[in-house]
Amino acid sequence: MSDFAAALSAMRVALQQAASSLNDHSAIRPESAPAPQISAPACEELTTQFARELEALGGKALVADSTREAFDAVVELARTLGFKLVAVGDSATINLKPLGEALSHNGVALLNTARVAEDDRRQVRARLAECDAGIVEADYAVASSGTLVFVPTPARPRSLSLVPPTNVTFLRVERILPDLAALMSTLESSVVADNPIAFVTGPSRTADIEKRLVKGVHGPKALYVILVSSTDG
Amino acid sequence: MRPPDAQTFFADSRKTVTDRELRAKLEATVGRHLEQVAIVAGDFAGYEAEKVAARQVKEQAISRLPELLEQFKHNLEAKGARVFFAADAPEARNYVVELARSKGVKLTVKGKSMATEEIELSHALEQAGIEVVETDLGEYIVQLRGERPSHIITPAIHLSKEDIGRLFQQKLSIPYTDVPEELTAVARQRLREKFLAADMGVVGANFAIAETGSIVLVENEGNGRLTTALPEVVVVVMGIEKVIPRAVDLSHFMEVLGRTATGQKLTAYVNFINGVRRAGELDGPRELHVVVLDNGRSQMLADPVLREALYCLRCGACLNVCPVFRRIGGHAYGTTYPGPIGSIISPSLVHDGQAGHLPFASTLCGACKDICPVKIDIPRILLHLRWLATEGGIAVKWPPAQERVRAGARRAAQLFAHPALVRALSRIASVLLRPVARDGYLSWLPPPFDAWTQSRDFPLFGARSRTASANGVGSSGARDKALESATPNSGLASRAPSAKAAHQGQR
Repeated sequence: MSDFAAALSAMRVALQQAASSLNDHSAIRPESAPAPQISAPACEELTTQFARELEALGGKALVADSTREAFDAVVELARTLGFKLVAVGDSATINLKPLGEALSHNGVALLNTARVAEDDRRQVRARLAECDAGIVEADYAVASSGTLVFVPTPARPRSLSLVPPTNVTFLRVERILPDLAALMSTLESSVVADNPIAFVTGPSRTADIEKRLVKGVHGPKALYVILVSSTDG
Repeated sequence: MRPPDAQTFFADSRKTVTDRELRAKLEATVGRHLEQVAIVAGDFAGYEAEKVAARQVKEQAISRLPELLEQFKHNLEAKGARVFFAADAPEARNYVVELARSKGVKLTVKGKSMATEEIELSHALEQAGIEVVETDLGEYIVQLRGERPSHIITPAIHLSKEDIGRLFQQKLSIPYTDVPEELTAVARQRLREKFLAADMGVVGANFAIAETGSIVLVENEGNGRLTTALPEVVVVVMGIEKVIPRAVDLSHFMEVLGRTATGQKLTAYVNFINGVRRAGELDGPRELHVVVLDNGRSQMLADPVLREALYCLRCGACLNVCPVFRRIGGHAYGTTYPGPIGSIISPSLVHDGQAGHLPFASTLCGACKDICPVKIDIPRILLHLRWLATEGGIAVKWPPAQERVRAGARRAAQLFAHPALVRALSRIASVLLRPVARDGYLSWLPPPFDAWTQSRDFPLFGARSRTASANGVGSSGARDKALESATPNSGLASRAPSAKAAHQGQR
């Protein structure tokens, strides 16, 4: 748009004006900011740290030594929390089919949200709003802040970890990174550019009333993370 | 909205500064905020280094702004979005209103956004017959009250839980409760219906990444993510200064923003908004429009001192440490952005110099500079703007009493060019005036200086030892009357010893 071009050249003039002043200090800065030094602790340490941070935020960490154990944990959650309808998508590394069967077997209905045809969108979204929980796998996590990283795709839409009141997330422990700097250098810029990524740190929260913390506003009220430490499928 | 001129500011701040109820609410909330900030900042050894890194990214980004904006627009439009440049508030408003009209929008949900407050977008949409619902809890509360937010981060900071309980009882027809959990649950339920029915979602932006053409939206409630995931049309309104070069730069901001804004290591949600819905995707907008707003910002770019104000992340922490904000509250400023940051950007964002008086509404104590996550030297910019206002670079319409005092000060400045004369005169004055002075201060001066002594006492030169003046660090050396009358012992100004304390220490 021509307006935009005109505005940009006006900004260029403004910047030159500022640069010609003796007070300008911005031009002499180095090209990029130095990254703070970090040491890389072992996976086990990162898992412990992640779980500690998550629980401090009001999330719950569960440990599973295999996907089978992880699925058992979900079925157990469904039973104790009384899930009737849960939403799933296609997971990144874990085949969720056996979990679906186990849940059905226990009387829990499933809503598949992966690759929805345009004509069915309305209906699936209405159903999703009625789900008790969304089940999804995190792509990464950050130990220092207890953060889950979701890279949603048409196979696992962002609503899965957003709309239902309870979120159940599988996390492979080798996907836990030490801190945000490590995360940002792990995420390739093409991944950042193309996906509605979300960093999720604990259950949704607010402090808008007298700065008093309340958990569970518009996003999930409860967050269960199942830490999966095996490499089986 | 009331005019943000000097006359109204003096009248409103005079009212709020003695409002003990408002003071109590602000103190309680601000106190909790600062406690949390101290804890998370103290726990993090890399905090200082991250602040420096974040600042350096901003310095670089602002110095390359035209190039980065061009790159951002190019990359985002390649993903099916539309980027519109708005030179001022009316252009931005009209674009969004026309868009909503052409799409037949009936209901718009909004995430928390200061840029949309700045252009008064909700009002314009409502005028066009479109229902607008604020979905951030604090914004929802002030919207129900028909007010504007009084704080950048905590819009309802001026209200107690009892105020909000009564509001919900009255406006939402629910039984009275003042339990924050119950009030929040009611808001969740009411707003969930709106999210599911909305045709359009409007949000702001915390960052715009040039390299990837991504918008980054930071929030806690999940409302920002719902607002950008569910409606068919999504609009982002962002200032030109939000753009940063690369995705990797983000980590520095994420390490500092939550810590200063809300005392969190990281906010609950960091959302990336990247173009339109893909085939087979359950959610995401069919249309994404990004309004890039100038509205006086490129004018700041041209001023090498003022330019630093464009580094601001809108964390709101400078408000919470500011002795002026904590006494008069956000509404008294009369501008979209209150507090120290508001006082340095409003003169550029608000036209006709209507906000040119705000840089004078500061004690220059420097607490804002200390807490700023990108180390903006706010006191320096305040002084720069005062200089501009005094030298005619910014036209300020002072009320008559202040105008008299300023004219008197200009004459006094001519007098002070002759130090020997000043010494002689002040010796005479101190002898003559000693009987009417209290503790070396005059609480009343005759016109044209009466406006000065309305809010401060005048130090009697020569009545104090010569070293005394060196103690008036960051203040005019005068006593703040409102401060004394309305804050007995609050311990608020602990960073900047009040002039009175400094004065008493000398005796």
